[in-house]
Amino acid sequence: MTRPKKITGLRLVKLFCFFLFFYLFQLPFSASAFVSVSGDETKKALLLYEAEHRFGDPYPLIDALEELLGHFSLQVKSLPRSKWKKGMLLPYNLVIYLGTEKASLPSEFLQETAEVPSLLWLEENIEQLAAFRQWSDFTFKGSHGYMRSLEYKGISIDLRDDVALPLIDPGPGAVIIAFMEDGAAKVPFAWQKENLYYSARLYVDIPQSALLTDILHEICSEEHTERQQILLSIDDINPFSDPEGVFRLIDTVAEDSLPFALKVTPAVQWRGDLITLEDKPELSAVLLQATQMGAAIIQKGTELRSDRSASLLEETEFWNFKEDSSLPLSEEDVREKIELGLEIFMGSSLYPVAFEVPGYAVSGEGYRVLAEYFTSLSGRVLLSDSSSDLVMDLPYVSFSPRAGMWVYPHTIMCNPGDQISREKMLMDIRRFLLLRDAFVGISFSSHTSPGYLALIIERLKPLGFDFADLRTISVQGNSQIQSPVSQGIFHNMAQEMPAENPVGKSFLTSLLEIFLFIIGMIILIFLIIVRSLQRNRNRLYEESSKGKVAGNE
Amino acid sequence: MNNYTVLDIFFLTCLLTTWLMLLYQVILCFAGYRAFLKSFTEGEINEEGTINLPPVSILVPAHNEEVVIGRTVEALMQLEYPHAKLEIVIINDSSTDRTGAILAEKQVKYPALKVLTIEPPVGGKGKSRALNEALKIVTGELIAVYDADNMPERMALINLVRVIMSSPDLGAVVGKFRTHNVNSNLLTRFINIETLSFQGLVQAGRCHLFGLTTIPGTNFVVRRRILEQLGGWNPDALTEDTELTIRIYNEGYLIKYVPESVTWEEEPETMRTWIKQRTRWVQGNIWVIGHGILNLHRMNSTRIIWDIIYFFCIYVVFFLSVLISDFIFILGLLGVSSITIKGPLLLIWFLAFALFIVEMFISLTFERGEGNLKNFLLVSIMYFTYCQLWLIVVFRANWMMLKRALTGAAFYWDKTERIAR
Repeated sequence: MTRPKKITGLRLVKLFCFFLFFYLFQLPFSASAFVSVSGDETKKALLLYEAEHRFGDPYPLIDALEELLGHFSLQVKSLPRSKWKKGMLLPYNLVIYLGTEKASLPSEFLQETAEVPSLLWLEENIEQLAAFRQWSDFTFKGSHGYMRSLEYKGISIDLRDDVALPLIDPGPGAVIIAFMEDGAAKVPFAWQKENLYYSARLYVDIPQSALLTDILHEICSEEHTERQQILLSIDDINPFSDPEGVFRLIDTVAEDSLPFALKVTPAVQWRGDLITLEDKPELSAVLLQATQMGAAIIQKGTELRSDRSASLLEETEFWNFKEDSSLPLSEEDVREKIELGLEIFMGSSLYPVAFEVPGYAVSGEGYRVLAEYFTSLSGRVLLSDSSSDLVMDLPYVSFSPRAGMWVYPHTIMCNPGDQISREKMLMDIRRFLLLRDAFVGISFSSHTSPGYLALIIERLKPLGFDFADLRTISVQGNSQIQSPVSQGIFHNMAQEMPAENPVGKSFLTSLLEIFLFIIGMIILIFLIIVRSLQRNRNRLYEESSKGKVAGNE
Repeated sequence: MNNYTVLDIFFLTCLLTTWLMLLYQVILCFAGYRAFLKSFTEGEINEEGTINLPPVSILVPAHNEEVVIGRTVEALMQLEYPHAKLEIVIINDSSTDRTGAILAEKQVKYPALKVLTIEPPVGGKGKSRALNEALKIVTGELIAVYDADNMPERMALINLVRVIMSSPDLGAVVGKFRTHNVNSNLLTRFINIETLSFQGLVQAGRCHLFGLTTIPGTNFVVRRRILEQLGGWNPDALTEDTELTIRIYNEGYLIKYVPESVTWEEEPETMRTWIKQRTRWVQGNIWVIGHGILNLHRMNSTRIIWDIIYFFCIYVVFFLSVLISDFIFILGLLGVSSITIKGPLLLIWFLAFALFIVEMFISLTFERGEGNLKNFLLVSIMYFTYCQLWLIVVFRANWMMLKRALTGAAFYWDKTERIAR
């Protein structure tokens, strides 16, 4: 019989390394089994465009596209295609070409597009690429208007505009992603071939943008949640709100153990006086109780001017809608407003996790100041300093380059209505299921009846959405705060907040963290014991054996 | 309020039970450390007992032990104990190999050596029956038992006797067993770590905290009077040592762990032998635990009630928890279903691993030459390999017991194969 080989130290180390590698390799799988998977390393995207706007339309397409790209872990750079230089495309993982108008493209440029990992081509000039790549089965049939709808993943999406869209048959080598139809014929709208994804039109509005965002998810290989999210909000809460009415709504949501948000304006101008939450302890107590029942607080501006209600439609805190321009507020004015609001909240032990701009209208400068205080913005993003119409309604949570904050979109204001409008609203919401990572913000006025709220919740629950919990988002990241007052506020907030996330942690999570701390301490003590044993063991044995010898003598 | 799914609740229950067991191990680890330090500070074993050492009978059951029995006899003959008070009885239990011949040779060399040969139908029916047969003929006031593959150190027996004689409350004393063939292969290295940690933490810790020690089947001394009072070893028990432990405590006596008494034994070198041996142990222990649980109301000793519950938790609750959490983990991997609980779960898993390593390493550091880097690496590997094998063993043992219960077949003694290094 042969004696088994002895295991040398080196073999043992090799064996250990093997097992270590095996288990390290397994770790991401363990993580996915228990917690959501984090994204991979940052990829780079280059956005080249023929024009920033479509002819005769001031909508800033490039800005909107950048807002959509903010959802992905991408470093985005935007340039007019005319500034392209040889070799420019090569470092990028993704190149997006926006052919907003006809142009003659250099063959070197076309050549280079073949060398990038992914190319997303939108709208015009695709026939030049096809010709350069010698796609013999590709047919460009000119442009055609009056396309009625998009057919994507078995769902029909209305096309609102009557613009002429390129009619293309990419040939049998392409994978058709979506069709468009004019009632008579069905034509490929989006398709994929080689490294190219093509879409005949850039739509940034919901629900048409679903197709584009899905293609982006495909290209960016982005990890995405299995299910889509809904954020329930109770809107328009201010110091004059009826505490009992608000509580009934809160209680209705809490009955289903659903997380939700409260959009609160902390002060109201009333006949020359500033009435704040601190003056309304009953309401403050209700809001505080709400945070313990699953609510996150969203600061919706700072003060409401109830004494000039007629002008509310004309002017909000940051915007003059009558003139359609931002109010002439200095940076200091904006700071003061935000800090006043935060101080009022703090006085009632409430900690807003996000900010919502009243009327969604604030200048780029206003966003910059807001971003010093908040990491999250609720609602829409205004893409222009000169028009409140140029807003972006995002289909998912995205980091806005313009606002400098994570945007949690507001999508639907749920007003009580007849059965037809309710069913239409629910159908619109259902369409978000088509979208990966979709995030639907649904707001209810604080005057909504609890019965209506309960009815809508009952209808929403079976749809298959997750209910988003804004308490799980980080409220930190305010390192850029400049003013001493704001620094002071956040210093106090950091001290007074129960944790990094004020009420975001569940009891279980907190318990697990305490448990972790205890186990960590136990391991530390054990390590000290090991060290102590290693130092003293031999001495103890020697003294013991000396004692025995002496005893025997 | 959070909404937990059924899977979440299962997972949390498993997490809770697993960590309760682990935290108990933490307490035992602290207690084991205290016991280790105390062994140096509480003074020497009572030397006075040496003057009036009682007669001791050593029983060594041997069934087909030709490979090791000669060596064992040699070691027993070297024991430091007055020879006039020492009776060594080797029970040749229906051996069909050269065990009898070797023992005859040894009797020529050592005339004091007694050999009790038992043949079927009395013999060949397991260790308990063999020991009971020997108990009828031996004369010692104390009964010591060694396995046939053991090589006790010279002071092993006298250290046990000194301790048992120091208190009339002690019904038995238990020594330490070490692995003789530790360097044979990876398996024996793992077993070495396992035995050291079992004794350094579980035995020493329980003894220090609650005065609880389990008789390990070898290197122990028990009072003959108590054995006779209890009717000897239970022939129905596959792990007669554990079963005897419960009965001794139930009679109101204590058992003490004496780490100064050391014997060296041979451990299985092949996976097949290991699985067979451990399956027998698990079956035996489950039988004893089941029996104990059903008779808890008849138990007189609170400490043994808690110990039965502890072993029930180890073999049933802990095993089920690990099995269920593994199942949940696989469901998550396959994307079939996963838990919705958010929290630092991966970190908790990692800390369980870290805790395992440091606890084991502490028990190794008690022994000179064991607390080294090589063993540290082995412990790290052991968590994912050797420890997982126990799942197979427990599963196999339960399956075999279920099969036996369904078919009505009887237990049979699956003898451990020897290599003799």
